[in-house]
Amino acid sequence: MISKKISPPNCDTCDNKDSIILCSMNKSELAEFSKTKSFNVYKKGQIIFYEGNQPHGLFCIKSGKVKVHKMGGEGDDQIVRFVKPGGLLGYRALLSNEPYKASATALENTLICYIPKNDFIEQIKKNGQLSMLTIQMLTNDLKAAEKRILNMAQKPVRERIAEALLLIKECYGLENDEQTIAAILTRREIGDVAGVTTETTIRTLSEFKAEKIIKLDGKKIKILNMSRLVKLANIID
Amino acid sequence: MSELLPYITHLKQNPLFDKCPEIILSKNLKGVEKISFQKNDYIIKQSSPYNGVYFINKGVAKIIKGENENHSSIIRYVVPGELIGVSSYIFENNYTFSAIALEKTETLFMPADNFQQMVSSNSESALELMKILCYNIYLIENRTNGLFYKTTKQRVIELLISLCQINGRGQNPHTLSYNLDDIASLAGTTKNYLYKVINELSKSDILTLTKQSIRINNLQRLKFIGEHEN
Repeated sequence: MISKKISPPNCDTCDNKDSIILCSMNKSELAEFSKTKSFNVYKKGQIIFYEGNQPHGLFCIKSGKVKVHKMGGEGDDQIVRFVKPGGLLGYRALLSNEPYKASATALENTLICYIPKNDFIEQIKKNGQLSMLTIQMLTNDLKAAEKRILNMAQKPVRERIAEALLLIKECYGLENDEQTIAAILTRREIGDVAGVTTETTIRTLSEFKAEKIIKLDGKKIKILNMSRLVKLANIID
Repeated sequence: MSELLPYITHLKQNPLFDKCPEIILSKNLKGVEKISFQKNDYIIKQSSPYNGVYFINKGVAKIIKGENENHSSIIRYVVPGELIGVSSYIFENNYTFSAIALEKTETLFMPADNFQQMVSSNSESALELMKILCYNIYLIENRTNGLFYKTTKQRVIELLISLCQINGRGQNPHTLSYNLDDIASLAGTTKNYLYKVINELSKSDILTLTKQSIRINNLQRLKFIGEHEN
């Protein structure tokens, strides 16, 4: 394999326009930010930070995908969320000045910018728009957490697994056939997203297959009937 | 100005506004009022228009959320010092949850525009609000994790312990006057299973169930069982 040196990205020319940092700062602020940040490449499966460690900075994903996951008492994993390019990692621990409440792992080769804690906090203090966008991001996180616990308490397993498949599709996208989810996840990982055991995940996916909602090809999942899957997920906001 | 002083004093006691200059506070007190709620009164109704936030001064309220009233779950309890409505603060036209007083509850209501003005004009308040949101998210994610990994009995015991801690601010920290349906909902179990756990614990005299309340007789023992239950 030939490795190639990657130059640190410039915030001003970054194409992740959705990032709250990029859309809340002017050119000179972005140039200033670019000077203080550092940049790292994480390989697939590499841990970005561990649950329980103290945060010292903010991670901003340039490219690639990351899962945020929590360990259970028995060493099991629960996937809390996926983060895509433009998304931030570690901001809650940073803002609340607490250790990380979850770990983050690269799901594929991922490029991440790292902004020192003080620079981020100072920017929030002086930039009202960034401050409001951060609050908005947190209220969205709160709604997502509430929705997740309601799902766990109220939604049947079939609905939760259907929703997990849609979430994974949303994060990874589809392959060229516009049907196959562009990700290779184990049944256990799908169960971790839905909050059900691996055995239940295997059984439910088989049911979906028998009902011709999906087609299973090893670890690949092809969605044959999207409207039925959406209906099954019974997504409410 | 003197009639505003109690409100300013009250708001300054809250971490959200303790660093906020008095001049900003006093400019934003129009419409701020004390509102009391009786037991079972709705403080906020889900889907009603968002018009402000409530600071809890006294009493306890539950936050519930769901598709409709008959199909809703308790998200959490709120106690004195906490505020309700922040999750609807930005870009929300309606409250996305209901808040119901579980006992006589006194609140300080602050209209949406004032709250917005106070937070946006004071970076320390904005940072404090972020901390509050982070803490609320953590509490919910922790409970979600518990639903996934802990046994039902463990969840019930942990909930009873946390309700004792909530009650710790009152007169009788070990007497829990909560509805059993609510406790079951918060623990993510059925009322029948909750009864089963309570009966089991009352046989060992760890707690006593009466018509009105659950009395925790041996908190240390309850904690021990919770930690060693598998």
